[in-house]
Amino acid sequence: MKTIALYHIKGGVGKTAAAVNLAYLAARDGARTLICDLDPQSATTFYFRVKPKFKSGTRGFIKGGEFLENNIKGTDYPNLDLLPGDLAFRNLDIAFDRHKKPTRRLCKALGSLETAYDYIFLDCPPTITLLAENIFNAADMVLVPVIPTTLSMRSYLQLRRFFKNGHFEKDKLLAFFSMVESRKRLHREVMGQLRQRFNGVLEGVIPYLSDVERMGIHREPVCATLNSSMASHAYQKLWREVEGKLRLMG
Amino acid sequence: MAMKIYQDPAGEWLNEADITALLAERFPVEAGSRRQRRISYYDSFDWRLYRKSLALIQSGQQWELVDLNAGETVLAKAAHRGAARFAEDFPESDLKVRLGKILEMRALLQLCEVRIEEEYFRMLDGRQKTVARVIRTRMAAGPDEAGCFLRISPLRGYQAAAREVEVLLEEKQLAHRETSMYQLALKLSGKQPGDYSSKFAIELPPELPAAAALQRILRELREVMQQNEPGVIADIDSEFLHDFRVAVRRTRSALGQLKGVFAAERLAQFRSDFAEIGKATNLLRDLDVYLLDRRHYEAMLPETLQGALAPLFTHLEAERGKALRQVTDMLRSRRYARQMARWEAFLAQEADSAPGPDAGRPVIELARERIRQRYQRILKRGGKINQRSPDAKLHRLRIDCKKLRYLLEFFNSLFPGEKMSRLIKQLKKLQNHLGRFQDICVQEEALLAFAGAMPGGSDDSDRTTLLAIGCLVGMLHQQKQEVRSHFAETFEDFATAENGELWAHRA
Repeated sequence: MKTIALYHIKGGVGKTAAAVNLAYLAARDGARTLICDLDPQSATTFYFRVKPKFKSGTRGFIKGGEFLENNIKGTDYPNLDLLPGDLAFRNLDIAFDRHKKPTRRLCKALGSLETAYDYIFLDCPPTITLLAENIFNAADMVLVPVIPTTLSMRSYLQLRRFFKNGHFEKDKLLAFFSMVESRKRLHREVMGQLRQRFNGVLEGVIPYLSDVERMGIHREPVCATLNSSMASHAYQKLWREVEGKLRLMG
Repeated sequence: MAMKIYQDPAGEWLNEADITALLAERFPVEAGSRRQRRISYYDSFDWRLYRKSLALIQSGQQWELVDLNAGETVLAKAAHRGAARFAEDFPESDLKVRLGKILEMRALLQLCEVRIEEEYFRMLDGRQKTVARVIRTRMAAGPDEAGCFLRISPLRGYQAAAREVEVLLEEKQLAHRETSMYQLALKLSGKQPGDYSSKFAIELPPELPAAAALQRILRELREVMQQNEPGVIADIDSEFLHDFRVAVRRTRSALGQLKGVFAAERLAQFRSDFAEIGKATNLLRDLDVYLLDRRHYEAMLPETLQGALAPLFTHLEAERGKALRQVTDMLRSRRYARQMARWEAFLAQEADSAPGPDAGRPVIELARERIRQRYQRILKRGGKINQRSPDAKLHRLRIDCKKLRYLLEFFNSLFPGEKMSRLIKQLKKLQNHLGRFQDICVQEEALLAFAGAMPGGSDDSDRTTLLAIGCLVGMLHQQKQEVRSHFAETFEDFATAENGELWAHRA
């Protein structure tokens, strides 16, 4: 099993859209896939038309095992299951903090799913709190969508520093450009700079496309509704690259 | 967890409108996507996967090992292009490891290929979210052979909806039964899982006259030969020849150990026929065994010498090619056809058409007598063997044990199962011990013969090969001494067990 977190300190950078589409593509290839909606806003859950309700509460979440498993819902797509989000997840931080080894609670909670799934995708809330540290420990890969603007780049640098200072495995951290408008000069420049300065920036790029935005109306992954659209191709390319990296991790 | 399928009792193919109407009584229904795929099921000739409730499925380049007891859930998978004959042909993966353990030297055979057409009907809730799927499935194995059915594919977390659909379909008087894709596919292709086993099993009524019983045993053995002949000729894997040879040996053993059941003059011809057939396959089997043991030989050598055996195995492989030709020529010859026709004609006759003095005795009586005789002979001969006994004595004891083993297998059904299997287990241990000794003797001899036939040794690589062979011979000799020194205890275990009671007295 490999765990992939879609994470950014900022909101609105294309995390959920990427999580939903990458998870969909993994499942379409035949991998048993679970997508966990850790965001109290539950956008992923909304996309899959499921009621944002986690029956066992945060306490059940932390216990993991069957408390977690009983909440899993099959989506409309074969091989793809969802752990629905809940507004109560806003309190996950506080709940983690009450336990021993508070930064490893998520890792433990997901432990029982090890054999049931090939991939677990975590759609993460935009915070850099204890939950984020849990995510960094639990994930094999932390995928960061970066909009090629100065501010977004700055928060990416902050995240890199946070990884370094917190002694998280730096190799886990991979960025890809999201909501890219290639006709904007600034976007092209920022992308060039970042690629030059750092390894760990993926080739795959998700352009700014209305098909992605319209996912909120269709409530389906764009790769499912418009398989041959530009958006779908972009996610497919990104997924192939991510999959290759995961395979190299062994 | 079996799969439940629903069919129209009249065998009609339910059309889309009917299904939608039926399901729409309870749910908003969306008739949707279709999918077509072609899958093949694989197993070895002796159904090794099936016997472990497993199946290997190929779909394009995807290979999946599935658990037949758990609704064909995938246990391991791997992508592999092209043909896969043996487990070792797969890329390094969990799948390869698992298959290797189960299949060993057996090749994979394609059991069947089916085309599956599926049409999905989705039941929706208020959010337009799918809560259950009904899949109309058509499975076809050929142009004429096809099955059509509905099945429910439940979604995790929506069990209640799946149950509702189940009730709905049952109310509509659709015939339903539990099965699996595997069972359906094999049935359509006319395959019967588990229809071959290398284990000899035959039920004999105790009072059956010996002649009729022996005839049944021999017919069964002839059938095993026939089942394996095509696999030997096609050179699918080494076990076809092995099983064929075992059937020949069992036949010879039955004729030799149960003489007196048929008239001796009728049997003379058959005994010489089977001796000839057995002998014609010896060389090929020997070479198979060397080649199967390649890894084992190499592991015995120090690392620096492991590569040096390559010329030996290249040579053996070339020899094997020639030996295979000889065997296939033999099996396809007019002579073999005549021999088998003669034999089958004899087996088809009335059992008492060539009676010997024992023909009319109840089989249980004859079985007790012959097993007792052989058992006592083994005890006597084995008891005399010590560290200084010549190799030939151990060899003879091995043959005696084999003969006893065959008798026990022929007459297995006549004796209480539990005691019998305990005895067979003990005998197996002794046989393994003696077999190991025999193998080493033969290997030693073969290696020395090969070394003798090698060119002069002026070449460096030739010299290393000779060195490696020398090294192996030394190792084997040491092993031989070890096996010999442990013989006494193994034999003791066998001799002291209370086995005599099985056939000591008339029941």
